[in-house]
Amino acid sequence: MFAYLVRRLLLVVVVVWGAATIAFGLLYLSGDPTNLMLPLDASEEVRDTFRREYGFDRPLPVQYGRYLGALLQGDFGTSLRNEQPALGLVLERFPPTLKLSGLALLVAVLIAVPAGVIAARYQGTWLELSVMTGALLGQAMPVFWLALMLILVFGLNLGWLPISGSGSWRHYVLPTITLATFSAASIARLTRNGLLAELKSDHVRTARAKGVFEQRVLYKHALRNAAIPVVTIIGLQLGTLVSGAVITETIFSWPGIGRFVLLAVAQRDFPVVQASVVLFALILAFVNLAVDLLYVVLDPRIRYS
Amino acid sequence: MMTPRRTLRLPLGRFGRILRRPAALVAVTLIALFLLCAAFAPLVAPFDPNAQSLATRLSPPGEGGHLLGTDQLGRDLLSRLLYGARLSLFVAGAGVLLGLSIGLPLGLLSGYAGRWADEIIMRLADIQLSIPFILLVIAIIAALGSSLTNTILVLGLTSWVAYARVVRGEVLRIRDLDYVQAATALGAGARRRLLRHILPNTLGPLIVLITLEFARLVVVEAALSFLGLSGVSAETPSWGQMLASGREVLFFGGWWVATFPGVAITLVVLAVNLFGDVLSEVLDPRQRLR
Amino acid sequence: MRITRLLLALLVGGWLLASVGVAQTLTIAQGVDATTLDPNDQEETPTANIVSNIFDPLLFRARDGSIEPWLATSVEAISDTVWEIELRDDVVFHNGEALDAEVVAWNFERALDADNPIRFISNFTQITGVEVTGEYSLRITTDAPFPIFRTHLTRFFMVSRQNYEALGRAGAAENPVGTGPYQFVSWQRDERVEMAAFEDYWQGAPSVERVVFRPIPETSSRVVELVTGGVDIITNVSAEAQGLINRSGTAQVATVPSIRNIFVIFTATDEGPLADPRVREALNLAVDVQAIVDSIFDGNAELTATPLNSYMFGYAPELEKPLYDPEQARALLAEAGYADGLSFSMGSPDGRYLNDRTVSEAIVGQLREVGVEVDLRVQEWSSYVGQVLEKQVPTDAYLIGWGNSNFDADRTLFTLLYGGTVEGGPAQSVFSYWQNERFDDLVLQARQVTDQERRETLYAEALAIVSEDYPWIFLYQQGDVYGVSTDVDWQPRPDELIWAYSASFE
Repeated sequence: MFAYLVRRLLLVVVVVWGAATIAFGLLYLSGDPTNLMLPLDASEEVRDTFRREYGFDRPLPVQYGRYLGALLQGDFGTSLRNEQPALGLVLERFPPTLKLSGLALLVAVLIAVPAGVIAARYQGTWLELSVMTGALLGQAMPVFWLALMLILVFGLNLGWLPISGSGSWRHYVLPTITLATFSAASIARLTRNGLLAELKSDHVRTARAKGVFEQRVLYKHALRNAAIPVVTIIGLQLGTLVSGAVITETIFSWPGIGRFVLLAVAQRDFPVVQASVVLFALILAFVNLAVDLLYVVLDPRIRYS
Repeated sequence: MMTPRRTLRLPLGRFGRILRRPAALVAVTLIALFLLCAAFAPLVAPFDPNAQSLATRLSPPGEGGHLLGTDQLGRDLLSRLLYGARLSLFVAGAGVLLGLSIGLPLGLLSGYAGRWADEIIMRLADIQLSIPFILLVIAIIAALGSSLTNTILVLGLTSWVAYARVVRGEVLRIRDLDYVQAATALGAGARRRLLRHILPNTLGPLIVLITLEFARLVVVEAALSFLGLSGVSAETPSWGQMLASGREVLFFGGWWVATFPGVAITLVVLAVNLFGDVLSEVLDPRQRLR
Repeated sequence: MRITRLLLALLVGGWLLASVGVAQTLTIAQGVDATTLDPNDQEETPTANIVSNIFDPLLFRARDGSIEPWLATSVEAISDTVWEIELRDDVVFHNGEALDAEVVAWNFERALDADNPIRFISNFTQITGVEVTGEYSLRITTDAPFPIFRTHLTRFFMVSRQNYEALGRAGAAENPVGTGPYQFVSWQRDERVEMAAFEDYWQGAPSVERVVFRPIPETSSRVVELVTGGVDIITNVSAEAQGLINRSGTAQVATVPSIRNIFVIFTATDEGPLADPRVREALNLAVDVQAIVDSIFDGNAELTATPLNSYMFGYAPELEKPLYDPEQARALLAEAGYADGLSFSMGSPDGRYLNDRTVSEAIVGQLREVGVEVDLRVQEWSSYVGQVLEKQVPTDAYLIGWGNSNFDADRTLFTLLYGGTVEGGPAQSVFSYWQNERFDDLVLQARQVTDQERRETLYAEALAIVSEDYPWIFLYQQGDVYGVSTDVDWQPRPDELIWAYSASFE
């Protein structure tokens, strides 16, 4: 187990290096930040000064070498747009996003898992039909469409909830619903499908044949096994929720990392983009690791060596 | 010794039975309807989708013969929706094909060859997932220009990981099954084993994944349009672009401009997901109806 | 039950207390947050809006475009290369530090320091010396005549030296101290910048006690916040939203013609159909700009037939003329040998200017009416502008907007149209795909004379050439549209600046 962990951690380093390198290459492909940082009519002289100041006039391998060297010392450079250390700017944006996505995922799991269990338990009834219809709709609606509809109803027509910013708990309601809907829908469907498959499997049939009560079969035997794909999808969504809340954050003016990175990429703020890519890679790697370790807890047959 | 050859049986009989289930029927009907619309858009569309008329801009549904109303430039929404189906379905379909053609071989290689190939491919997948989607999109647009092809390229490049992971998982599961072992014992070559015995058996979960990915890409294309990053040409827009530009008037006396493409996207995604569910019940042996 | 009631009473009481005690706050929502609060290290309008409430410049651009004394009572050229600045003697910073010639000189030196460059340095490259000549007077020397020095001073803000030296460059950019009507309170990035009235402001304390700037990127969200009372002033209102705002009863639309012109630059002017001035004229005649303005902007934009607008020095109203004439356009196309039509490609941004993409699509639709097929390629702004500045535009024409921060013809005509045909003169501008020797000559001449009347005649002749040769499709002068709460009395400015000192609650 220990050797396994060490190996996994070493691979994290490789993945982070790979992500940082590809991000560097993509940024280079995406063009010269000088044009976006300076006014349209800045003179060529001024542009050259800017390029020199940030080292964009150096040959590519030199730029890459400097970047990796600084990275090794934990130095991500200074934001071109904000003139502040890039790492600090990125770290500042994480807590709002983590709070929002964490809450959304929690809400999603709390609603979706019981809903999925109900749908499986009462298969073929109107209960299943309504849960599954809701889930399918939730999964099919484009996120920004849902967000705009929530603003229309609860912001404009009813005036119950604030629709931008992150000042109080009331600000959390609409973005949380927006983010949680898709997650809840997919988790509910997966829980139901997994449970149904398990309920038909041999060992559950055996348990039933042995006279174990239906509730016990459901919770003790089937749910535990059905949890594995659910954990996988939760892990996957945690990863994408962190980086993928761009649209929700934009529509609800949430001061999070998604919106910040979108702007940084659009403005070619190289240091900020690079810092966030490295952080994304780290988070993703550790979420993956956590998910793999959870498998061991859930399924005694899985062992890592 | 008999070779217990298990290839894919296309369970048409079973499929026919499933079609009698209302959910499946709804899904198949909807999908067929959208495909027909896309195929016969020029015949069905009541107007030229690009014919502008600033005088009759933002006509509500039903007015002036425009069944679903007109948009900000007075173009007939229904006709644009019909033509839009072509583009949206094509972009998502091509994206799936590209993703599949990268992910499937990598997944097979990863699962079958194992060891170094496996490690490299799976870590590549991790790296891919760490790169912000937006960065990849903008880099491709900036380097190669904004076009339909490049949008498809982006969709394909960002979706191969799912195929690779699923195929790898299936290969790992099947590789050790008795009949493959038996084929090996009988001296079947690696290529033959891969093509004859393993590949067909990964098809079940793969087809389910394809439907899910297709549905996802329809939505992703819409999101790209929302962020102004879609390379789909302006004149014959996708549903995503209609939805994105319609949001400017959504609250302000033009609810229909964004609503109908929104409904279209929702319906297609819903139908395809539903279809995927049915397929998974048919194709996945673990979930066969008994 | 009793507890519930108690809680309810507490809640209601607390709410009443809160609503009585709170100072009136003016909340302003723009698309993005400030990049920095260092007023001389920024170049974006939203940032300028925020810092100009905390800091004062030496001279002030009035709403009508004229330049007024501000922290400086006078800025005079005593020779071609020497300027004398006289300062007010009653100005203090928010931290109590007095504004005198030493502090102003230090501000100039900071903006000239090439080892630690701030963005404003590019405006001052001509300055060679700064000398304190009295407690409230100083002298600036330049290496050549510097006619737009006063213009630059309207955007050059005075920063507290004590604060800067105590906190350093990065610290001062997050905790700004200036002499402006509002003092900085807090900055939560991407969420809000808060400021409070500065009671010792040299022009008297402002009427509004607290000001908050909030970034709200999505246009519809801004509008909904305005009409539901969440914010008091919003920027960039789309034409479609204006009706909703005016009907809401809680807010109204305020408009002002902007300094920004929108137009289409032809790039394929070397060969092919667009090289023929008759074709370019025909394309101008085929676009019904009035219809576009009426339907897309609700009439709120001025048509243009030259590159300038009425705010700019050198503007020639006599050259403005109605262009739309589809019959004449067809005739010209036939004359040029394109009776059967022609096709070209055109680029457009999406979301950079008000309704830019919709305007581009409307142009395409109207050109189709005269048999011209346009392949429209909409592109994300950051790659679009990169191609423009590297002169690698892949299309035969592209739509762009141009704001003129100097209010002077030179900034538009030289930067956008100068063709580089004058021997020994500057090279062709990156925005120019058109060459006319006489035009280049006139524009360069106007740079070298100081007599304003003479400059005016030179520009008039240059403009006449442009308006006959159609290097662009001339479109319109954009209107800036704001939403303002009915409780607030505030007037928009043509240079997009939001100055809270001029606002009050009714």
